[in-house]
Amino acid sequence: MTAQKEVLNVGVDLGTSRSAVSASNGARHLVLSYVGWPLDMVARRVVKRDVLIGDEALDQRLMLDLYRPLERGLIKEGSEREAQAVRELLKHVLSLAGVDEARESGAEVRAVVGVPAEAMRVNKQQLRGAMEGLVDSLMIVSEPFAVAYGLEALLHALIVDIGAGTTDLCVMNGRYPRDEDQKTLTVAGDSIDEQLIQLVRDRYPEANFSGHMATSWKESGGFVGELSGKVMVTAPVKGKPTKFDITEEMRTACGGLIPPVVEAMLDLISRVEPEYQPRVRGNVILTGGSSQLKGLGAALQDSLQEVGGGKVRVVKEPAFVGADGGLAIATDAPDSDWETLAG
Amino acid sequence: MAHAKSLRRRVLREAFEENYQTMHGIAAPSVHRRRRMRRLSRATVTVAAVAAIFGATYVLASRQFSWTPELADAKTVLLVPPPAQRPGRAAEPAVTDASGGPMAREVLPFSVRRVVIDPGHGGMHRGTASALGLQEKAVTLDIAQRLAALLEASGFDAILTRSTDDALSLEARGELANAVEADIFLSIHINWFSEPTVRAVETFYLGPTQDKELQRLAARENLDSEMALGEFRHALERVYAGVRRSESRELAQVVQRELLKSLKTINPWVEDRGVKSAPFGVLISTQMPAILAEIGCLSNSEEAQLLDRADYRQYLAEALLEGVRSYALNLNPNLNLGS
Repeated sequence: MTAQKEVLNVGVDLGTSRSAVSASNGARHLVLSYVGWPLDMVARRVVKRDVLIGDEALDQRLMLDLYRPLERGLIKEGSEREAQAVRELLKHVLSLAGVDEARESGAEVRAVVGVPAEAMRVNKQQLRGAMEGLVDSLMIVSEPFAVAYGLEALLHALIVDIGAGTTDLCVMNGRYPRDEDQKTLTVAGDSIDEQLIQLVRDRYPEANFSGHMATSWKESGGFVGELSGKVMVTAPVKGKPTKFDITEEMRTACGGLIPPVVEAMLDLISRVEPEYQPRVRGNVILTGGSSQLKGLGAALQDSLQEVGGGKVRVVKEPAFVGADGGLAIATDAPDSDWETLAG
Repeated sequence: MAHAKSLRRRVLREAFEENYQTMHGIAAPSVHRRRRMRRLSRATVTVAAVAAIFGATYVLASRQFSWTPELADAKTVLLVPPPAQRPGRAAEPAVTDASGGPMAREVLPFSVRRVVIDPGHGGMHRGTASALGLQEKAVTLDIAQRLAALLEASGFDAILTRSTDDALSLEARGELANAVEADIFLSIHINWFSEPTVRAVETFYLGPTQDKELQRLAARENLDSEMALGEFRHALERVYAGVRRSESRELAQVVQRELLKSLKTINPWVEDRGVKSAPFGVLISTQMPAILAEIGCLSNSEEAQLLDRADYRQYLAEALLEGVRSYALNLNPNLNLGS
């Protein structure tokens, strides 16, 4: 009798802004999707590392050649350095999940990675290339499908996954989503940031702030609809910390997300068999890093009134829902499939 | 509970099938077939090794086409036996009727089973690009993979010249089609026009042209060629005549007709630029009816937006499938193809 080979299952949500990993050994980590190399010898001596990833890279960005290698949730095409950055990020995320130790001990590593709903096959192949040698078998799935699988929402559900680079929508009809079941919008967290930066610069030209500061303002004070208080932020003016009221700018920037997302939701719902449409409308699941904007779930639910009403549920821990779903897929997929996908 | 379990099993099976298709460019074999394949795997290794020796010997001995490093990546070339010169195949450029003109197609009972699909460009050869950076090489590969899946599902044997983002010389693409004894060769490209309002579809077969614009297009599409000029001219003279040319023209006409028929319903502005002959390098190396279809254009922003959509690319693949099916059924109405 031969001993069963040890298996480590891993789910990865590769995000434009953050990447998450969940593994069958209990490891769960969230990493900012930044990779940086020291700019010169001096920087190298200061950071004491050949390559920095995640929060460390962002913290030390002034001394680094910094890359955010994912664009719209996909591997950015460009320089050799960008391809290297993706691989470094993947290596790092997988090592946090204990992949290196598992492989050293002879265990087989099976990974499921989520990509935007409308990723082209060529994008999936690029990802497959970047993962080569890092795991034993790889399955690439649509990100909203991973979410739906993890939440056991495979039938009569609409997943709305608002990330940094893309908003992915996918209606689950009890089958693996096809092209007509999914939509990817490029209106997402990053586009809110861009608009917020522009609006604040227009109103307060004297304020000195970076894109990272605008992102953190959105993450702490972003909202849709009405707000009882004000969104106050601090930015330096000629070196002096100064308070600014950016309530209206925040309202406009975040509100810009609603029309395209509602249009895409209604379009996908209209493609469902008429008798099932009320069930889908009543089971809309809102997830992704940018889903946490105050009032977003309520605004989307209000928009469903015009087609007979519905219910929007906001996922409480959106950062890990994709990675957890990937892990569930990895665990449930039969061994025979994993054998075929090996290599 | 049992229903939820079977639902999960089904979606996982479909997820696996999509991954298999992405990896290999073809539909996944059934579970039963996979088990059988595993049993046969040891025997296959032996056969493949023997075939590889024969294949390599053939390629080197024939010396019709230069060996390229890219060819080494096209494993299929080395894993099939040397192509036999089947009597009456379109590969024979000398086949003509008594008058010296092309032979009537009824004389040769062609049948289409194996289709080689060539996604234009790849790797460092990006082809054209839209203003927003959508690249021809990515669009052609995606459509080719969709078409391969559709062809397989319809009972054809579909083979891609490339299934990854790799550079492959034009000659290697044709050589691959020859080595696998393809019945037809379809090269997929996306056009670019200097006039940004133009949205057009055009299909080419191999032949001379006096049209300056077409000469420029051919020059652009021939950039990936490794043939010397002398070889190029010689190859052109060798293949211009014969039944293959008339079959290629017929194939081009059918594909162009089906493309337009489908596209006009959702993209009514698309212009019919017709079927033309032009000296495309990728068509020269092939020994079977071969066409190059320019199925869209990235110079028009609205068209580029459409090409960026998965459902539109699927629509294009379905239109190309209809073209291939119509051509195959014209040749052999008794062909058993799935609906």
